[in-house]
Amino acid sequence: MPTLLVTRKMPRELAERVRASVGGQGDRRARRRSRLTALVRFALVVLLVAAVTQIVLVTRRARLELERVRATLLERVRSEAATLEPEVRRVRARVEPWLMRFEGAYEGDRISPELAHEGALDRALGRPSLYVRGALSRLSADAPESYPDAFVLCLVKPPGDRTEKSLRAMARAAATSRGLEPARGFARYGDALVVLPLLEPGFRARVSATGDLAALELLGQAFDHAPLASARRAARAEQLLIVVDEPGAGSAPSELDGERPHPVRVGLVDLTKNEVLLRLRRSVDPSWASPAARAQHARGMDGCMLALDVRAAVRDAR
Amino acid sequence: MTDAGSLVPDLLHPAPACRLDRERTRVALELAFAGGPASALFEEALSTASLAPSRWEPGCFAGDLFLTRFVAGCLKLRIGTAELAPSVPQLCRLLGNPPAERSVVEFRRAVLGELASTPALRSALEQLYLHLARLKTLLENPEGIQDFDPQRRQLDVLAALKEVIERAATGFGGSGTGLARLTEYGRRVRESEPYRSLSDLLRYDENMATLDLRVGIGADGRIRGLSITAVEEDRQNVFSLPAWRRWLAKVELFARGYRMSDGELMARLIDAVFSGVAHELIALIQLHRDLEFYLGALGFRDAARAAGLEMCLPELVEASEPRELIGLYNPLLLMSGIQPVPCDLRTRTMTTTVLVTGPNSGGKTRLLQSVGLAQLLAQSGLFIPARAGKVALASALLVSLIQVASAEQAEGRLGMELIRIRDLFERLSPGAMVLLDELCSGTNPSEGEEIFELVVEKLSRLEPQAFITTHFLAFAARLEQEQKYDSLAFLQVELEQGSPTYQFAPGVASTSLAGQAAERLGVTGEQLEALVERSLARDRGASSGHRS
Repeated sequence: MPTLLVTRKMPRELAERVRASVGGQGDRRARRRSRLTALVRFALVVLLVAAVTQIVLVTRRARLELERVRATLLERVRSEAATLEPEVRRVRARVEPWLMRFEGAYEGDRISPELAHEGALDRALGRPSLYVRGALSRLSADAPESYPDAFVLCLVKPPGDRTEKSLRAMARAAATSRGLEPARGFARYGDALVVLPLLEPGFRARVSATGDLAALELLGQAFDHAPLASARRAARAEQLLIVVDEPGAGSAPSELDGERPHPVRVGLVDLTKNEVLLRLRRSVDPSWASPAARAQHARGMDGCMLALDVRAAVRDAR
Repeated sequence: MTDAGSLVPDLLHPAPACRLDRERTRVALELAFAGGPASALFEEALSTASLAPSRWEPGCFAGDLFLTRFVAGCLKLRIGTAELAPSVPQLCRLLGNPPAERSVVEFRRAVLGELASTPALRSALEQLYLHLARLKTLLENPEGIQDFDPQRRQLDVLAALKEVIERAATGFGGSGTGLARLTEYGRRVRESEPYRSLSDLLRYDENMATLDLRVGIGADGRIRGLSITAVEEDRQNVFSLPAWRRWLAKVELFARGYRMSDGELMARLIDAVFSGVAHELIALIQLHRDLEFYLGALGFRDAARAAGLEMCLPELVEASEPRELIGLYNPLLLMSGIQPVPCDLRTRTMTTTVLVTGPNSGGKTRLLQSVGLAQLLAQSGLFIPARAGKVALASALLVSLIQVASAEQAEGRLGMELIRIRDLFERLSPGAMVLLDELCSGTNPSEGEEIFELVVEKLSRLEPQAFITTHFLAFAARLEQEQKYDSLAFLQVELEQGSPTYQFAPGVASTSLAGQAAERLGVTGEQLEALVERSLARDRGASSGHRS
């Protein structure tokens, strides 16, 4: 039986003896035991080698899969970040000062002559815009959480009259996404801000550093679910529609949805020109409506009434 | 064509042969090499070894000649300042069965003579023996002293074997006797493949690779750094394997059921090499005993010379020629630290029956021991304890010196004596040597003399070499006067101013000096009377004490 201990330089007789020594020379029983041991050990070695090979292959495959997923994700992130991140940063840089400005002392009503023309307001409201609304003292904090509401809906598509029935219908429509369809030109400021962390280098560094496929897939899912399309729309907005709720009179009763009589500032800013197109201050008071309507839609009906006031003010400015 | 002497370095027989049970010894050797119990490996192998044909029966003389004590005390190996004990059972066996053929005796005498006359050969033989003894110790590993590293022990065994072969091959080139077989054997083995493999393995063990180191010494004299400047592997060695192949070989061994280690790798190679040279080791076991045989004889001669005594290889003559033992002495006395007094012994022919008479403690029994041991040694081909001598080979040796009473004996003293005589004649063959001490001393002289004469008469027909001591002085004197038997000769202990000189002269002694012996041992009339008086006085004292 050949053995690795035999060298080519060995005399033939010595080589034979080395083979005999390695092959075992005991009695039949001892030889059988030796063969059995050898068989078991050989099987163990084969199993060990197979296991190690399997582990190596699986590890290698997992590593390749990890790298593939990582490369794909990084490519997507880089691709999005290349265009979207500068846009988001740019819009934030434009919006933030206006938020701070509207939080300050009211600067007086103003309606730009551009809006005084017949249909100018509707054309302006047709441009891509951002909508933010918040309390006076915390406008910057409330702005990202803002959603288009009955005010936006009524501004874009005003009801035919100021009856409780009409306003109530608009308020109800603003509670559904279908009803808000006419206001789809107004993007959420929050959508732009929420994707920003995913576009920054820190996120890409996390993706690059993660050695666990499951963790990498979680990062991928986070990126997949991010409102990138909304963010892009927000980033490309040309106008900013601001509604600032000033504190109301402390003694007035509050409705179920928190609405109560209070002054409201409304502003429309042309972000491309960085100028105020419209700035008005009006008061809202839900008390004119029936208790039943107030109980359900006090804020929506007030918003709609406010929108009608704004449109009336623009009309009056002609 | 391979000479038989080169196959087995047999130093005891003209026709060389391995006299051990080869198969049994081989198995025992392999077991011993592997580390199994083998403390009596050599003894057991030699105890069943065949010897040259012998007609002697050790039971007829070994006890009376104190053979075991003689071998243990006299045949010590004296090498340099060291005094080594031989294997007593094996040498007793050899001496107790001397060869029947004269050619074997002559062969041994030639070897011993050459060793005695050529110091260089003796020195070479002593060195060979020392290495063989080391090999024996390593193999038998008597106290398990190397059990902690069995592989090192195995390599030491192989190294010792190599040294033995080298010594055998190179130390006996000028020999013209059987010693030349050592050279033939050594050279044959040295040129064989197994020996070359053994040498390669030992070189591989000692020098698988060489590292050249550069040692940096700081200003304070301390070592500051070591760096390896070169590494050189002995690639020419047949056992040399690249590192990767050694590793794979270990994996192979593991898969085959062995341990996965460098040690196991070496163990397989050692095993392969040993199986190639194991059969040569069998011959060395026999050689170890042969060397003790000769070196023991030489050591005996050294001890005798140190005591101012001579030893010689006697001239071997026919039985019809005169006997001459000049300066004969008793080696058992020398062994006991007593300075023996040499004497000269001459008889007309070897077959003369010698009646020895003389006083007690005059040296008669010692003389018989000396003659018996001299015959035994001469017959074995060794030096005899005499300055010069002529000895005829005897067909047997029958010695009866000691009569010890035992609880089991069925007969009285006369009966035992008669049994001794009957036994003697049952074993006696023509040409044997007979040594009888105080024949027929166990009965009244008149009847004892009749039996004595009967023994002498019948002995003469077998022409033995007989030495008989007796205190039947009147009877011996009558036989001398009558000259009735031609083969009878008479020796008496010489006296000087009434004391024995331990020399022997022709004739029959006139006295046994029993009175002197009795006085020396306190058995005179006055001394016995004093003892009787003391006993009576003690008895009287005891009686009066009881009455009071």
